[in-house]
Amino acid sequence: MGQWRVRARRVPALLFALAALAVGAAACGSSSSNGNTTGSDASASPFTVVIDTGTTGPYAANGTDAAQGVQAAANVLNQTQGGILGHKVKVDVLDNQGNPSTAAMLLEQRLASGPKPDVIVPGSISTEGVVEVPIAAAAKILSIGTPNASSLDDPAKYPYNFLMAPDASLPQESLMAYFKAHHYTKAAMIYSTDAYGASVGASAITAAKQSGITLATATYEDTDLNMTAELQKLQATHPQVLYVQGFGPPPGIILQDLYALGWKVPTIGDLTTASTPVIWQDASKPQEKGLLIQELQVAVRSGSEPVALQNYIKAMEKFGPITSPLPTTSYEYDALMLVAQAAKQANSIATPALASALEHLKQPASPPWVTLSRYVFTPANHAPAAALSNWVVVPVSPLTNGQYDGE
Amino acid sequence: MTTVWAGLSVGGVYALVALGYNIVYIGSGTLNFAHANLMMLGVFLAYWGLVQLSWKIVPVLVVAVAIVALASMTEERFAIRPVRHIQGQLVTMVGTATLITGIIEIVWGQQALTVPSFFSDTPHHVLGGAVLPGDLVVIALAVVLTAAIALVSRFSMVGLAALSVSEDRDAAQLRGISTRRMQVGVFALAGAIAGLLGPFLGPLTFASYTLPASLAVIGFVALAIGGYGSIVATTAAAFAIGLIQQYTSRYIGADYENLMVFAILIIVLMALPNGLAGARRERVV
Repeated sequence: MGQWRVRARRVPALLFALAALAVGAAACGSSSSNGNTTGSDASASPFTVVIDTGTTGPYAANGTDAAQGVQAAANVLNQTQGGILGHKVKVDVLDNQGNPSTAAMLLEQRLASGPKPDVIVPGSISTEGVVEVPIAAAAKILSIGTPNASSLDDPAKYPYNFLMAPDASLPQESLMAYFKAHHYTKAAMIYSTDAYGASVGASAITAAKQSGITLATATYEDTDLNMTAELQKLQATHPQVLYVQGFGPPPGIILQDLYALGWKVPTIGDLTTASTPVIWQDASKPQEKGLLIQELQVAVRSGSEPVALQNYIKAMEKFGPITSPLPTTSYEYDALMLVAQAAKQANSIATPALASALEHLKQPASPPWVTLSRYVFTPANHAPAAALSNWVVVPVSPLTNGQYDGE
Repeated sequence: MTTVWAGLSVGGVYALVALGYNIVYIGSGTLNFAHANLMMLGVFLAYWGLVQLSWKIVPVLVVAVAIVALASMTEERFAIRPVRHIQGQLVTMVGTATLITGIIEIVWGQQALTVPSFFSDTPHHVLGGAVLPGDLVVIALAVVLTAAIALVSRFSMVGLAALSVSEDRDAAQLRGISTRRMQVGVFALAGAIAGLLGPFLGPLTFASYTLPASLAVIGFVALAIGGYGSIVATTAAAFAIGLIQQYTSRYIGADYENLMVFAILIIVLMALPNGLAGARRERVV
């Protein structure tokens, strides 16, 4: 009986404790999966970011860069802001070995087995994105990353998917503005027949038409070992400037053959050429003397880098020396920074709130992102609009911390 | 003339690939699908020696010759010899090619690398056309090596023995020729030449794991047009292909250069099923 009385006295205390816990939990407003509530709590569950990309296999370089960009952002957010709304950011990397089928399988397995992630970075290339975005959409998880395919920019179908790379035509429009500023009216372009090269070529042709610039074009196969004939064809049109698109050996072969031909024409390499190691490694060679490259401003040293850029470079240096131009990792870095900013704006990490905040993103005074000066998403367009001034044309030089000299 | 030099330079590279195919084919009857990958290995070894180790050209050549010859002999020992049927060899050769590419990707990564030229970088005007010394060297190497191998195969005992193996392996064996030794020998020779060529081809092609895609297919087309085992005709076909590619690119478009090459291949094979200089054999009907 005495024991019963003691237990009876403890019941109200127990109820009080439970009520206090419930109120506390409600006040914190955190959730253990997918962050479907608002507010912050330092002791809350982590904010989980899953990146499903090929860190081994044929696209290992892209995948590793993408994963490092995301991890660098997570590290900076955890160190400078304590994570996202008090949730420490945790990055899970799924290595799909560059195989889209494996990518889909790994993501399905991850969603079925572990706690629901808050954000999915759907790989680094379009073949990964087209299989991963539908899976993220079905699970109602925010996805954001560089995979760029027109089918992915469909807010009606994928309301929670956002693309980091701006429309592929913008760099070409920026280049045509550069041509006009330099009074070039006749230009020539040589580009690869692969899918990316063809899309850059088509964008450049359209942009040239719109700008009133005459553009002669020639294409090459990626397996070509000599481009002399293609260059002679372009030389015969007497252009004032030559625009080169390509990645891997082709840009090097083009410059070599240009040099052998003795054709001295202002030459500008496109964004992929600027990302080609043989180009910046051989910057001092006579074949590349005078070569210009088009790059994003972030990859060009200004001498007075903003704090956000300094933080990013420091975070990337922790993975080792930065040997590629910064944009190979900076879009992924920005992806997480944008999500953090959206969470702050919405005061929530719930997927619909994050998506809505991204669609109406307010530009902070000192943006934490580094690649584009401003990202503008709208409810109708989840690929960012960007100013043409984000791209610049600078002389090629050896890279320092992923940046060209810019002088 | 500049277009001609460019075509001859590319054709010279194809001729050197096809020469490797022919050497192995003549001495063993095998079409070594991994030969383009062995040539790629030679190019990467040139990069390793000249850039990473800062060696002089002679030790680089010695090491590249030794390593690629050894790799080729290893392929013969483990991927060719134990496999009797051509279907099986096809699989093991493709496996060897994949293995070589995989090892190269692990060791040197996937980015293209610059192999320095040990000739002058300054273009010269020869017969009215601009050409780099490195291109002239490749053209000369293709001609000289073709002539040397053709002479050896026609006028030396070893060469005649190799030809007899390619004609009739069993009959050659009955005449006391060690077909196994012959097979090992031709794989070693083809590998050694692939290693030797690395420092010469690298400055033109760059060291890239995609290089076999540039070499293998057109190398085989040259072989098919010239005729399997016909060294001189194959080299002539390779030079012709280089010229056709360059002129097609210049006057029609790069999209059509390989279409043109394969159209010519079909026409040649329809008229001459054994290639331009392939052996014609009688058969009982």
